[in-house]
Amino acid sequence: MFSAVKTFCLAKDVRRPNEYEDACAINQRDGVAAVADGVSSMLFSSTWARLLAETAVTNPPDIFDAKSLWVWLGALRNAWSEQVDEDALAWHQKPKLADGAGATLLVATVVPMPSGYQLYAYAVGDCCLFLFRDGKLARTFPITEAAEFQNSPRVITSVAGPHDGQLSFDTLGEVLAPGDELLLTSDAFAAWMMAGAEAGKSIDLAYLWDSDDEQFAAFVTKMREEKRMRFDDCTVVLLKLAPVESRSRVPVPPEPPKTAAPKPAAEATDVEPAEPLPQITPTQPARPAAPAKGKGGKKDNAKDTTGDRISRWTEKFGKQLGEATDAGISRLKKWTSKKK
Amino acid sequence: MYQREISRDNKACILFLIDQSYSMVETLGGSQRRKCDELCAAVNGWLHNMAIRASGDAGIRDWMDVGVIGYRTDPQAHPVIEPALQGPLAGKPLVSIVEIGNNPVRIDTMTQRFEDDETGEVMEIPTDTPVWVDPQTEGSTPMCHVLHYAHGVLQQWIGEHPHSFPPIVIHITDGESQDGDPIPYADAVRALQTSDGNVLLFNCHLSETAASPFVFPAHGEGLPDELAKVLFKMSSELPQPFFQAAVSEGFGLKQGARGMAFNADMVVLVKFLDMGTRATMQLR
Repeated sequence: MFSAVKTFCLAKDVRRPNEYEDACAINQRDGVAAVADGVSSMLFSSTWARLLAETAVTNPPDIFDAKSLWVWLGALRNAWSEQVDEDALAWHQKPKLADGAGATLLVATVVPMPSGYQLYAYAVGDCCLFLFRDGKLARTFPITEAAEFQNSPRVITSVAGPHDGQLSFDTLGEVLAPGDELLLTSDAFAAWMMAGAEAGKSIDLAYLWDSDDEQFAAFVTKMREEKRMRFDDCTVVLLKLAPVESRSRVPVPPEPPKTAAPKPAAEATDVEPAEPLPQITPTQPARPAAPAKGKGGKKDNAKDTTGDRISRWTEKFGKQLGEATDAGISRLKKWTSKKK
Repeated sequence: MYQREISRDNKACILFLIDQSYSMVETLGGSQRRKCDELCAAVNGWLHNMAIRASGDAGIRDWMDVGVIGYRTDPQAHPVIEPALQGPLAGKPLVSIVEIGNNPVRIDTMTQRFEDDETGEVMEIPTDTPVWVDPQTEGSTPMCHVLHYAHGVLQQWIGEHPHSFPPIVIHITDGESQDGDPIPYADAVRALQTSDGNVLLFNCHLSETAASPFVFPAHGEGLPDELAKVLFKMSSELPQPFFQAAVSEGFGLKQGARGMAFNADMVVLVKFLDMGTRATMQLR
């Protein structure tokens, strides 16, 4: 479903790429992409960010099912702690071990629909998604103002603690069109983009698509030297949605939601042309319950397929989808009858 | 100004100037320990915390250079101005935080007491505490000499790091200068600058009484005595990042607030050290 995919991964210190603490991952088959940003002041955050991003796209959690979510997170925490050799830690690293690692996370899932796509996104922290339509910025998520990047973001930690009770996800559901472009990025690049957008500057995505790693590094270095971009790791994932006819298969859509019968067409009046479907604004999901003590067991959600998760999303947003579809059909009927 | 990000190529510099005059054997207000003991504990604690904060997956990140300079006079009243770090780092006016982390003089085991919130039981937990500076006291207070020494150290460092966040000097004393008017020497130190701003000089006065401390005053009026007024004139105005950090910590600051604490006890001293340097780290 992606006609083009590109990633940039630039360390804070370009001469020490091994100190890069962001992570990104893409699962093209399932249409999932993720970006994570490790907290540099915490221990082994690069490992944690990588675990989060890679698992989010290969074995996504159900963020609306608290029990399932904590099992998923518990398995990741086990995997992180298994990679830490406590005996090999220096005295200055040991005090940090109790707090573990931390990372922000942004995940975007794109599901093909008969005439377009449906985007489901969730996030903890300030990694940011930018939606471009016809080359213009249409939406950002979860951050909507550049000033928000001044705040310390929420993070997902690699060890259990009292803060687990505060873990919650920002969520987004959005209808996408073929040709739309998504940009997922960590906070330094996102803050720069947001500030530019607020200043009325257009963002040249073509420059990013056409750049190689060296050109991207040179550009970011220049922005850092001019103090226009924060001195931090830079990760960018670019996705372009394929035209419908180019998709190799049309997936079976989920069960349509239960809705009222379509309203009859109103009397013919001066009818405006059909409008794009309105965006869906999801509600915040319920916060997951605090985890039980001890590490989580191994996760076994092999039976929880992408279709199951889509069904839960659709059930949640189905009412809005149904109403939007009805409104579009009504307008189309008005326009068609007027044409006759 | 004062916006430069800290990195290996643009390291930070923190220089402590610690009073080692004989009066430092007196007890610190609000404590049963001597001022010199509490001061060294605070500096060692700061070094400890900073090494941990700079610690990364592959070791300590080389983000900053640190120095601790002690000043006193010998029995012949000659100024003794010398680096106070001991052990493998002895004699070095400035060292990297990596050297700090790798070369404590020793690890002391201290007993920390915690009260269980549920049972009220007091628990004693042994804690390993690295030490880099030990107390020394002798003679009087050659404040002008140490500021002159600091000027030379910082002038050389700035020559090697012209675009870094400006060095921060934290001067801790319990009394007035006894080798002249220190204000011109403090002005000379504060006149040094990198491309990101002037050197910041913060002054902390330790008192043996438990009098009300003055912290980050905005003007010289209302200060209790001449020493406080002199230290106020020696102190740099807080740049915006430090001002905001202090406000977020609950300090009621006014515009024009300076990096100064007078009649500080141990609690104020530790907060002062933390506030004086936190804004440079910009860590999340």
